[in-house]
Amino acid sequence: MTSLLFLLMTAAMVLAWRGNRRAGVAVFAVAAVLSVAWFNHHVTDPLGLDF
Amino acid sequence: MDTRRFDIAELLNAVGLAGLIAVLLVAYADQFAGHDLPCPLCLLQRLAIAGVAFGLLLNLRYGPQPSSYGIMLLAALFGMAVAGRQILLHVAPGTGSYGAPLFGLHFYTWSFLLFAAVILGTAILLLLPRPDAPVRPLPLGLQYGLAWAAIGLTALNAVTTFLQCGPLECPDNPVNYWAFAH
Repeated sequence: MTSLLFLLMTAAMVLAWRGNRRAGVAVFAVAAVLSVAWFNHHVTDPLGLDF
Repeated sequence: MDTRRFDIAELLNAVGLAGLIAVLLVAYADQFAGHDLPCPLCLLQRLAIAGVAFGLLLNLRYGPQPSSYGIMLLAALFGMAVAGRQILLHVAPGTGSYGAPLFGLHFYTWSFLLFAAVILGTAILLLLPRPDAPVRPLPLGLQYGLAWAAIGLTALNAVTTFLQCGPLECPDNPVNYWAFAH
């Protein structure tokens, strides 16, 4: 899954650099939403903090 | 002889992109030379660095624009959240740490500081006035070199992350590459 996120980011960069800014930003937006969801998936362990 | 001046914002964007490329190279040096496999949160921080690089690449290609700076800020805030989470996981005594330190700080602490610096730097770039006279463009070789280095490193991360984690999720404490363990 994380490799897919890197792949999407690569696609966003290539699209933008080759002149299609709008498509690049759209792919970046998809990658950003998925990244936040994937981060949320990994935030499972309780923090060892005691105030 | 071209007497026009470089746009300071474009120049700083190029310097920023070069810096992020260096950071991704250091992460790879630690991974391969130091045999230090990145954890899932470490990989998400690399992804955030690639996100900031995407904003810088947009500025390099289309000229500095507020929307590209917005992308950089969003990516940096995401990276800061991930790095902050990892710091909090290990901040209490007895909770250990992940990976070897570099100059006294762990990679996730450096990463947190890097994203804070990106936010500060982006704010300063947004304060710079747009040039009122035609500017001298950055050398094409420099622009292409930086852009393709960033693209190549992000693509390489896709490959090495797949080799390490496979199609699903990485273990919290990876000890070997998924592709070579099957």
